[in-house]
Amino acid sequence: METSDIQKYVSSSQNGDSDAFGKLYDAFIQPIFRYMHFRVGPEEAEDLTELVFLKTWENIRKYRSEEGNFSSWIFRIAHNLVVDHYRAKRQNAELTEDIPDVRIEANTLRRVHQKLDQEVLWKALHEAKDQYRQILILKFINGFSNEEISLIMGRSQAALRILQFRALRSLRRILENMGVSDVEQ
Amino acid sequence: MMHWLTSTKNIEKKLKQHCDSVSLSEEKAKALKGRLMAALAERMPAETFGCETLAEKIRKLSLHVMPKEYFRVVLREKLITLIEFERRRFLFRLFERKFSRRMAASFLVFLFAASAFFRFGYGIEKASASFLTTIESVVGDVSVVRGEDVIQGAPGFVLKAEDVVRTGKDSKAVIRFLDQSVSRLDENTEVKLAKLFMNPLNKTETVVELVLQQGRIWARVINLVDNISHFQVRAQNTVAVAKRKAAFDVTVLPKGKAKVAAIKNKVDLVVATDRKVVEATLINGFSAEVKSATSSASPIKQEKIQDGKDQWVKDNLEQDIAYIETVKQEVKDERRGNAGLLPGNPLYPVRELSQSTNIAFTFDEFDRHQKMIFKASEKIDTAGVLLEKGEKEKARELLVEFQNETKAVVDWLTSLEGADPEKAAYLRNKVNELLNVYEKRLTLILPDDPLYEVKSAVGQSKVIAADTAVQKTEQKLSQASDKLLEAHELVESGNSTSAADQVKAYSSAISEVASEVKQFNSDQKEQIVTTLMDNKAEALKVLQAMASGTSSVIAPLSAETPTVVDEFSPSITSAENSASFVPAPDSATYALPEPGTTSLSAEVVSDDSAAQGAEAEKQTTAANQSELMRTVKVAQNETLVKLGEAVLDVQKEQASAEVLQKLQHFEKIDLNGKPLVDVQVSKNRIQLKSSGTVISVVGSTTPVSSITPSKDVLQEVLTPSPKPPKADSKTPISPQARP
Repeated sequence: METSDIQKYVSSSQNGDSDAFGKLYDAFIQPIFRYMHFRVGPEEAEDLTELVFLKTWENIRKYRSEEGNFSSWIFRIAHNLVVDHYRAKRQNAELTEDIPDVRIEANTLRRVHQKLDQEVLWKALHEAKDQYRQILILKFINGFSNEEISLIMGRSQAALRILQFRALRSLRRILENMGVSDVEQ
Repeated sequence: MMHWLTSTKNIEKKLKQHCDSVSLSEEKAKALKGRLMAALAERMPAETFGCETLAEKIRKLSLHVMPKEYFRVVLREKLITLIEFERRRFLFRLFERKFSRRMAASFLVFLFAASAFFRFGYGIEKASASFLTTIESVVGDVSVVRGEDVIQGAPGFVLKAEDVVRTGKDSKAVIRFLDQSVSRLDENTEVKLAKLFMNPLNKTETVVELVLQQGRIWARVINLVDNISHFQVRAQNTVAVAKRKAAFDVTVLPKGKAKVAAIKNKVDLVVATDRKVVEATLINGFSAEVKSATSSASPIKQEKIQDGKDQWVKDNLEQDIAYIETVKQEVKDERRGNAGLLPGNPLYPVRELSQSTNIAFTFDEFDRHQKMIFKASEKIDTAGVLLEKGEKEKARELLVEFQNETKAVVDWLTSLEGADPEKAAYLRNKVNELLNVYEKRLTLILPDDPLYEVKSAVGQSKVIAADTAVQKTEQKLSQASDKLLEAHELVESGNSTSAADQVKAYSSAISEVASEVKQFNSDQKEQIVTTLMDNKAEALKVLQAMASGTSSVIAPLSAETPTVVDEFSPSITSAENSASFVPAPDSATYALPEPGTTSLSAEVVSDDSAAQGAEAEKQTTAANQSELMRTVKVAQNETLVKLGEAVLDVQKEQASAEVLQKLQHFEKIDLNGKPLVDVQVSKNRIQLKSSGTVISVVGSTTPVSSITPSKDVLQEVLTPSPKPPKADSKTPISPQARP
């Protein structure tokens, strides 16, 4: 959807037009879901996606185009929800002996040849630090520019470039440890 | 020693103090960091930092991650409804008062889930018809020329306007068009698809125009419904046009000639010479050879087709039967797919509740009525499936509901017209388009099919949906014509009894229309009369086609008995084709046997009961066909009478130039080489002659002030006092028998 169309639907939604909000939903459901899938996992992606849109509707009147484009704004909401989600999870999580140590698992898999597929990618991303994961998702999965990511993550573009470099390097190392051999083919 | 140690410690302490004092201020540290970061960023080679492949792989893999369709739809419904609820919070408070908030929310979630489930789980999303023109099959060498490219033709190849399809030696091709017509190309044929048009706002409005550049083409048109829709083939200086239904054959001949043969129904011909444009109609069983005439002689030479001689015609008729069955099956499958759950299924009430709730919670009136009409239209398919299963009562209930719901929407539209004519026109167009689509799907259904009730219901709804009284009448006229076409098909399928019933149904529909037209004011009459005249012309052609197809069983008569003046009947050897003989509708001078009597003399000599049974069956068939012939004749006369009445009615006021032009055009309508109807207009009378019958219609005694007759006034004054008509007391006609 063109940026001008998005702006048009946002304005209508701010006036209470449910159809216009429906159009925005149609435009963003996939990227938001994809973001959530890779950030929190498939089990919780749907719930959080729903929360993103509910929050978006609740706060849409607060959105100002001068502060940045709408996609950055909605992904900011998504990011904040993920942070809240992790915070809540940390508080509630019960540690048991059954939780596998993924680092050990990764090492075990080191010598097993694996192909880079969705499942492997997901595991690798979850091996990485959360901020690395976030930038990889926003950059290479959701296709945002650094300018947009800086608005979402609240970081400078220069910092993001370094973060991006480290994130890719980290992911490549994780994948190699997992035995993925076709990373650079 | 101690002194030295103490000194060292002091030096360290002082150094430390000194170092501590030498530090960057916070601002300077920040600025330095910024500069360092920027410098580092500039020096980074690329965003992927040498990991291009990895980045690309991540991108590609992530594309497969998508929300489940069910989840996507349910969430959307939930959001929209919650938004609507927020806007009208008082309604939700009302809902809350009746139920607890938790129950209300749970109920809503259930409905959203049900709504999405029924939409996707049962395929309620309507399957759209294929609106493409494609090559259906090929034999041998078939190619498509598109611009400068020559592409090998293959089944499934999608054709576009301006494409030229070519068949080589011993090669054939079958093309299926966007309007569901089909064409078969003989060997060494080249045809250009000059126009392939479908109105995006009304998908039943289609135009297909082909140019036959060489060879031979068969065209079968099966279900055009719109007045504008047509299928035409141009060859040399001739254009053959089919509307509604037809089967015809076109051949390009040497020396600039072309031949057109009408095999089923009728085909209109338009022939352009360098002097004039000649129009003619061919009914089934007749062909015309057209030359590019430069003299004043007619370029059209028409003749009866010799039955059973042309293998090409036989083969195509057989393939047409199979093709029509294919289309019927496609329509059936689409109906079953659209119908989804049927009444009687335990989940049916849940679906209905879910849909009704969806509509009820659509607070915008326009959207709500739009949803209502789509929900109502689903009942057409459901009723169709029920009728196929033999569940007539349930089907009829649904059809009544459908009609009532359509009426409710149309009534609301009428009230909207004042406030928002654009929106009203938009929704009215949507309603009509929906009904047209169903009408097209049901065109192949004949009165002897259980689904005919659905077809009738759709037709009645089209009348309900028409905007003005004139448009309603036009719809009724169109449906009356459909009855005639159905009768014609029944004749061809050998069902004479049903055909006769259908002709009678046509006659009574026309009478009803005539009564309505009488109540119109002069403006309305002016609007309707040209449609009426066109309708009558078409009806006369179809009736003549039926008569031509049925007349082979008319009994040969002795020389003393006046014969039938059906001049187009090939089996009558001594037809008195004379204007001096004018049989009245109820005249015994018809050569047709009286209803109930057999048409054959008793020539049965064998005692064999099987032979007697076969003979009796033959006699019954002949009797049925005689009855049909009689009914057709009656219908022809009534058509002429109604036509005459309509014209005279309009001419009471001021002669309309358009009406007179139409009348003059009538006289030029050529049917198989002869005039379809001869019209003579005098002061207060109109005389119409067609198929050997003369009908004279006398208007009221009020003198007409300014009629411009198109022909000379009759020399002979007919008996002025009309006889009271026998059958129809409303008809002020006086069929006159001239001595």
